[in-house]
Amino acid sequence: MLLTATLLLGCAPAAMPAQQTTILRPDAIVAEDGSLQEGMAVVIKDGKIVEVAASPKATGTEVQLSGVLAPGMVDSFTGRGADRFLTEQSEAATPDLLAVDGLDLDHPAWQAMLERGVTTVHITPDPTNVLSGWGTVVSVAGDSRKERVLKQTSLPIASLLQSSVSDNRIGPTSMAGAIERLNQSIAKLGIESLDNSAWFFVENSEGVSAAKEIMSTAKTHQFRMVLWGDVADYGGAAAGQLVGIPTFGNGAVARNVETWKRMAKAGTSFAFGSRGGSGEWSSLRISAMTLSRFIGNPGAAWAAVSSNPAKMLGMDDQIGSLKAGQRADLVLWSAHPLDASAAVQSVLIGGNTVYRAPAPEDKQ
Amino acid sequence: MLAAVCSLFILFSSHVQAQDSGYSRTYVIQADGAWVAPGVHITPAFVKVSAGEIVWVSSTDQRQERTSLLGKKSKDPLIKVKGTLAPGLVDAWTTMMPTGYSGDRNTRSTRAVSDSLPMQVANEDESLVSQVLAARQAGVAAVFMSAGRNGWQRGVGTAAEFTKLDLPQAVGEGVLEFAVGAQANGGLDRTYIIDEVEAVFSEANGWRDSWDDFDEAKEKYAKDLEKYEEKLKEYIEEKKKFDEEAEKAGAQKEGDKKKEPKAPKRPKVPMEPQTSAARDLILGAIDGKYLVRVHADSVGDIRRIIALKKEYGLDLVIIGGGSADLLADDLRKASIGVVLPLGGDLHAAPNAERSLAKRFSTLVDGGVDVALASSGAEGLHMLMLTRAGELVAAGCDKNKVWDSLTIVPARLLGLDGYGSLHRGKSATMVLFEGTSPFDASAPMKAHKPK
Amino acid sequence: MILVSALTLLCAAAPAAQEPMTLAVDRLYVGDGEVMENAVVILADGKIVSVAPGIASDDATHVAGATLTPGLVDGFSFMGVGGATLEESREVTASLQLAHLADLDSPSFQNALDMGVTSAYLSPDSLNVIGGIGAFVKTSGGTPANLFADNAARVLNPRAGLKVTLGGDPSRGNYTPGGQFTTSFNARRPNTRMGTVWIVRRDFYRAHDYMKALEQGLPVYDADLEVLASALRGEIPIRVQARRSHDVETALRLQKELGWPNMILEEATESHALAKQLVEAKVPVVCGPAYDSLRRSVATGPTSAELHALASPAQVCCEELHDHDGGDNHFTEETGAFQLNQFSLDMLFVLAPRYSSAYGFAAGRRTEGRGSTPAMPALLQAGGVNLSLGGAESHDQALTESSLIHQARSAVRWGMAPADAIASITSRPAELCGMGDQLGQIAVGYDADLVLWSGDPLAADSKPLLVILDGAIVVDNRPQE
Repeated sequence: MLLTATLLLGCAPAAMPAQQTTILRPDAIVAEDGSLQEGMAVVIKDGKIVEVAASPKATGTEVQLSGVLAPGMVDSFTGRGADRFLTEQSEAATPDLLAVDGLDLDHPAWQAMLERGVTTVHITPDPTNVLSGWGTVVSVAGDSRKERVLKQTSLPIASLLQSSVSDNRIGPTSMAGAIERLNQSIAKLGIESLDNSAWFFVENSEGVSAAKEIMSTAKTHQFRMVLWGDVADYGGAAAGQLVGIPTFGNGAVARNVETWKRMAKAGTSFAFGSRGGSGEWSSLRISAMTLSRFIGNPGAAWAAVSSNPAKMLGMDDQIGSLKAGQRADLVLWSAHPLDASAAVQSVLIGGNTVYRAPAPEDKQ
Repeated sequence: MLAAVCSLFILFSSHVQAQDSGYSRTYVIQADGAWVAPGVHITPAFVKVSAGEIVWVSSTDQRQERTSLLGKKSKDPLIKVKGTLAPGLVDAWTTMMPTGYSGDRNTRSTRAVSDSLPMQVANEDESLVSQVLAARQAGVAAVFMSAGRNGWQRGVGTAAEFTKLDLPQAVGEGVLEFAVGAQANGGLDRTYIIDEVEAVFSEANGWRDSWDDFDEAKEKYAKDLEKYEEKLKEYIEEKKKFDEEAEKAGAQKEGDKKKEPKAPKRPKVPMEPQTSAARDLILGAIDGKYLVRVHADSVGDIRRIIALKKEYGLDLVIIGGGSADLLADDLRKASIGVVLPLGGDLHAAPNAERSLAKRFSTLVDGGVDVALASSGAEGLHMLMLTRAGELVAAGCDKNKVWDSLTIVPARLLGLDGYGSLHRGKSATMVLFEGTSPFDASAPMKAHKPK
Repeated sequence: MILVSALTLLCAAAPAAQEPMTLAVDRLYVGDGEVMENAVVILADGKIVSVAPGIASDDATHVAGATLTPGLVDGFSFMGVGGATLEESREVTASLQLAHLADLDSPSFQNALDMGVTSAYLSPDSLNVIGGIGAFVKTSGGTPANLFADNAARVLNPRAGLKVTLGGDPSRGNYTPGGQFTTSFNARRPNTRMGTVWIVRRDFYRAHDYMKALEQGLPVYDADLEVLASALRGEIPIRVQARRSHDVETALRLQKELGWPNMILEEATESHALAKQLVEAKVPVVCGPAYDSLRRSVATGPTSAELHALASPAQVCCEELHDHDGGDNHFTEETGAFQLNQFSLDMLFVLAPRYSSAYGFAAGRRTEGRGSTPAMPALLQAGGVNLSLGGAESHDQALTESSLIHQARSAVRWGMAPADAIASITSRPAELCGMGDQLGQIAVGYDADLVLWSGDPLAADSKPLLVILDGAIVVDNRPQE
């Protein structure tokens, strides 16, 4: 039964022109709050979701799917999919560095992402300079570069990770120096060019307050924090905010279970990025599962790999959830994606089937 | 496979905990269901817990009314919970250690980790408590604590359960640990370490034989001593005679002197065979006092370990087992269990051609006892269920994966009190709300007995 | 043979009014894609004065079965580049002018000449992000070069292109200081692709500012920015070396962003999927040699004649290759190619290190040609791209098996039309170097740079019989009467 369903999804949308209306009827969908909703249909047309309803108004080809349909996962910040490294340390501030220039769309990592249900990634220069440059938002699969690069330059990446930005040769050598250089380079960059947000990689409460101070001079502009290192150090700085966090590696993550719980209770919401994690692609999902166990809130954990990263990127109108108007980046799972025993059955990007899991006997 | 309604009492051998874990209360938990044992699922579930142990499990409320001396009628308190109860996980391979304990630098360690466990006193070892809390949070009820990471004979590790104060407490038999091949670190060429392990076993056996020789020598010595004493008496008399004659003949010529009698030699005291702490451990293993656990990956090493087990009749488990799947049949025949690590990179398994899922299935289908362990501490317990779940996603049998996290490791560690929900088993359980404990889309809680 | 040609070179080198020369040929590639049968070409004073249909007369030079082509134009080479021209202390050396520095006495030029190359674009090396200004030169002629020689006669265009390098080359060997104290300049320059692009962008933005400052009459001068400004004004084409597909895409993006009026892509090893964009952006491409794995290009590459040529300088000959273990070298009539066994391949690499380099065996090349195919020139041509071929380092060794004509033959073997292949090594590269109206074609008024081939130039077994440069015979391999 499973096999036929896979075949159905596999063949049907691919065989149909993208302009046609297709009504996908999975066993269940993953709603934005992370819960499963049964009996819902997802209507896609022109590579977009046009309707999500139990009995949609649209007419078109109906496709029955056996499994759980979820939006593709979004990786908030990563370095994979780019050529070699994104660590350019020739100067303390490299505001003109564009991750899109290091982008390698033929990289084998893209396939790995696809197989793990990730459909959009935000590639950023490494936060090793006070102002590292600009990130780029890329769709994991697509026919052309034009289709793949969703946002050529997303937003600037600032860093107050003292250990990373310190450099005995060209400076800075201290947090004070880092803040000074960052101030200078932001002034040079022209705050107007910051669109409306910037990301700050911070690793302690000093970093958080410095970042707030720097951005307060910009008045109208927002900023987002990516919390690096030991979360226990941040105090209440992240309360009520949406923050980026690296995926959990194999190290000491559980030590801070209580901190995670406290942060969740204080209204902090999270968006995972796979840079700084174990590097494994599945770590995005594994981290969400782990977070779910930590804070006992599967909905918040699912949001950390879907709608929250989209919000962090200011792209929640395009990606990260099953809503009308969003890109039809969909993943069919055999069960809820936070169920570790669920496997990816197939992946649609922009409404096209771009991945189909091998038949069960080929697995293992 | 699905919930077989089971209204009977499930009563099994009672295991009496040797030590007091500090749990004292008696209560009954009512849950939506319970995974009692492999293939035995009941709905709903009532579990009576007393002093940290399960008293009974049933799908109906078996509480009995008691009448107190004052005539008051009462029942055990009932706690209603949402979700399905399951036995706590047994993590057969962790790096959990008491603070400050770092094992032994020697290549042959004799240390026992159980000697270094903290006293059961609150705040005794905060760091260790946080590790236990992390394990508890991840649904783990018992762990294996290793004696060290140095050398190739690594000392005596122990299985441990968690007490009311969230400290580990040794339980079960001691486990003599070895590491061979690439896993060892002890100055020797690593490929020869298996030779060294074989050598210490045969030396220990040889040493035991040397006691028989010693006994013989001792008997002989006793006889020789008797003889010696007789001879000594004779000698003394002869000597006396000789001296007298010599005195008489004092004036006589030197050449006429009689030969002086020789004193008899005293027989040597036989030496006792020397004892050594490292050897004592080996002898303990040969006598079945310790379980043996060998960290080995290569086919060559595993083959020789199977032979070692057969020769000395050891109770033996292989951990790591990178190539164990290639010898599944041999391992089954020798009834050697394997502990596979879930840590590290699942997709880049030690042998990339055979994924962990493939190796797991081969071993399990081949009838080998396989435990899946975190092989780390802290966060890795948390990843155990999710990583094991990935094996299910990769096509492994869900029930077998579950068994490998519960009943099989309990069996391999000799922990009678873990792995299923039966009378006398630990009441440190998992309560999950989703379709299985692998499902993180629904809450999961660990039940700590009161 | 080499001695003979050297002698002829010496004789011919004297600049003097030459006797008109008449060549009667059975077949002639004009260079612009046209082919003529039975033509008579008259040369005088270093120029072509007449091209007309006709047959051999008594005073005409004629070799039966021979084909005439324009002198080959190498669209992208590193002849005479090295040593003095490799300035590594800065990432941008835009004002470095190769015309002043290239070693025009380098033996590479004679190697090229022997294989019919009469003019070439000399590219600055790819070690720097902006490497300097390339020159377009004749491979021989002018006054004999010596310490006091004036190279001017050979340098036709001293500002033929500004070299910009994307990809891995400029950051190779560079590293991040990582908090360590160091005085090495390698710890400073870009160490990622991204950083390389950043430097390009940085300097061209500076150049834009510089131009504004100049307009406002501010007293500014910067030698490097002068060059960039002149490139931005369209006076010097910007030649971007980009191999990986994403480097090619980056180049197109930079062109748009920085307003490069005249961009040429070099190497473009993986650009075949991007033909459409290249055509839209009107970007010509000069391909380097096909960088491919050993087995696909070398193993099916060298033909019998090439193999002979390859083996002849050393003591090992093809027959001997057969004698060794695993002697399964076999010749396929259909493809005209040798299938070599491992031993022979090893021998190839002992004998011809440059051969291997030309086929992508130098580490840098290989890592930057993941999706490369020898069919790339044909694919670009089919996609409508203005395509030229370049020999890169192929002439820098005495072995000529990877020379420019070989690139054209390889392109034809992988599907390119012969006339296009000839155009891509004659008129098109001449055009790119601003010399399209002076050389690269057999037409009246053009330089009398010609090559007479023993057969079809694209046939693997034909070789240059005569190489004529500025009307003088510089290589003469005609069979001795």
